[in-house]
Amino acid sequence: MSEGTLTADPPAETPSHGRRGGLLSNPATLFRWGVRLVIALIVLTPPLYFEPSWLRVGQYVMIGAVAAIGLTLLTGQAGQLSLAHPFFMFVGGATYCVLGSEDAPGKVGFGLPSLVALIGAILVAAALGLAFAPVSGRVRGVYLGVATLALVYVGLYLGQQWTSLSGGTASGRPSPDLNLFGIKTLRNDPEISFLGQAMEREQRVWYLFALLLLIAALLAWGAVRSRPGRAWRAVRDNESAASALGVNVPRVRAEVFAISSGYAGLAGVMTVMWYRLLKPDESEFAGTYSIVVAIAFLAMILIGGLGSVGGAIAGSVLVFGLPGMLTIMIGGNELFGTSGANAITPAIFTSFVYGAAIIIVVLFEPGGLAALGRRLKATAARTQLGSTLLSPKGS
Amino acid sequence: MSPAATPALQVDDLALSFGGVKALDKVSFGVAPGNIHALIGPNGAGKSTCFNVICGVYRADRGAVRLGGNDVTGMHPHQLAGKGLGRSFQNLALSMHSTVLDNVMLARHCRTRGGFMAAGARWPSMMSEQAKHTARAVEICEFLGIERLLHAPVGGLSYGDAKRVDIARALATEPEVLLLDEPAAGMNAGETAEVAELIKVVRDALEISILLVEHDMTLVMGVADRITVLDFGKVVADGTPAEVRNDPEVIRAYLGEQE
Ligand SMILES: Nc1ncnc2c1ncn2[C@@H]1O[C@H](COP(=O)(O)OP(=O)(O)OP(=O)(O)O)[C@@H](O)[C@H]1O
Ligand SMILES: [Mg+2]
Repeated sequence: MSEGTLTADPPAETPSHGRRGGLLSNPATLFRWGVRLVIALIVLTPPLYFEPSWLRVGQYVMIGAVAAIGLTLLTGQAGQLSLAHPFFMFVGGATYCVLGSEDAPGKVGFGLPSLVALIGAILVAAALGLAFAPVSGRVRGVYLGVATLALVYVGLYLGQQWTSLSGGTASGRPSPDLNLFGIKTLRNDPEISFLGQAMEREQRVWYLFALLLLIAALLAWGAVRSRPGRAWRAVRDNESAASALGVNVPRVRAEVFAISSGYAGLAGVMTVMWYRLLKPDESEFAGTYSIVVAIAFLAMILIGGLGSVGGAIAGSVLVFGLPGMLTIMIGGNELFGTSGANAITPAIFTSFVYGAAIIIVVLFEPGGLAALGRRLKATAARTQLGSTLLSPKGS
Repeated sequence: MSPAATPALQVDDLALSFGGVKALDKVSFGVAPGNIHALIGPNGAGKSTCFNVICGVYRADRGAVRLGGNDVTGMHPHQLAGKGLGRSFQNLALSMHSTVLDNVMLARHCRTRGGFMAAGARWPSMMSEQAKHTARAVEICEFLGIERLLHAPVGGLSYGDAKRVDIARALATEPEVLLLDEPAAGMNAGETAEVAELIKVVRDALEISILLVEHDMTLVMGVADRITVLDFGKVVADGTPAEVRNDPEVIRAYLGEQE
């Protein structure tokens, strides 16, 4: 059958995809730009008003968000459960240090420009993800989760043994500064001020992370909504059907694993910059690249709604943001005594909160925060004003 | 049909055993261009096995599959989609959470380009290609009468509508030959008649060949131009519905079994 042989009437009107209207001509467009404006304010203004300690919490949330976006593509969109995210983070962080640092006694360094090191770190993490394809291509479901867990142990072992790359568990190795077209991130060089506020380290890192998160989220949104995303969901839902429709299933599975690993690699670079240090973990159960972190990422994407990019970001606000916020707000009080073995630390309190959140999600709203958001939008659309604002044609 | 015309689909001397069971044994038949061809037989006759060999899901021990004169024996299912073979699924196999349009657009995967970076960056050439293919997918949905459901999740559709989505998706691969796996399974008489009508309309409008694996005799006798009957992995009859209906071998193997 050749294209155009359909004898049915041609479409009465062109489908509403790729519709472009004047910015102000259409209430729905206006609404969408309003949402964007609010997001832009949330992202752009905190460095002007907030204490550095708050900024660091926000930066940490953005690290988690980048990692969780990568995981929600893999697990939520493509249906591959992975606990290996911390491993690929570690790979990304270590690669960034190795590529971006000068050679030093006992530590290998290539002294490459930091932006090259950043991209190299993403690519190396993605390549290792691709190298995992023989496993991810054969093993499904929970078994894949268990298989990926092995990588966390590999990372732990390599980090401890391969000290010329990792710096070792005792001292680690310092993070290279990121020099973005002449603007350093970790030092006030050159000095900049923005709306009267001096842009120092935490402000700079905030804006850098926001930029990286923006790129990460936009790429993910674009992919989810078009050809790659359709292939991922098809492979997730029914491999033989996907295959019969022309999708090369092993290839798609390998690709999404590589992409997800690249996201984890970027999150690893951000982690190293956040600590200003690459430091391998001493235990698989506690630390920056440990199983606990793998589970935290899963919690983020579950709470946010599997497969939802916005949900992954929201999940990180809860899971990575809450401990930091609590520490700042009610740090030294009696409930959150930080000393003593039985103290409920903000981190422990948070794990109760997100544990409860997961149970609530599983029981009441399997679509997570994303589904909640969609439902709110649908409810709003049923109201008089809402229908004016949200209807696709803006009628 | 002139006998000289190259069959749209030809299977030659297929054989496949599972352990001791000869699921297919020297099976040969051809689907003439523009024909609706039915493959029937009693339970365990080897219909599904034959279907799966043609689709590339199973690999035959022996024999060949030709698509419009090209040898496609042993190709992977995803390669066959690009060679003009479309198939529908008995159990629908749709993505229930995705929209109708999303499901149908999946069939354009092998006709389009663009990986993660291009899609993520909304590369203009990729976006315009996508818009073109979306228009085509919408057109196919209109043809099947499901255009009002384009943005509805498949999970909420009636069985009949979901079946149409399944067929729309198979047609969106732009097949020369369409394979239908028990399209009337689980349907009542009214729905079966609707499917029969749909199969004819598809063939007439698109001038494609259809191979139908089916249990339902009324459907088969009503729509098929030609019928191949399998029994115990062997072809026991091949002819027009009238010929097959009166073939003593078929009556014994197939119709007799139903009493
Ligand atoms: N994957 C398999 N492994 C082992 N034996 C199989 C397999 N698939 C089919 N068979 C056997 O091959 C024979 C043909 O089975 P097939 O499923 O092709 O029959 P069918 O005509 O589709 O029957 P039905 O009408 O019940 O669907 C049967 O004896 C069956 O048990
Ligand atoms: Mg069968």
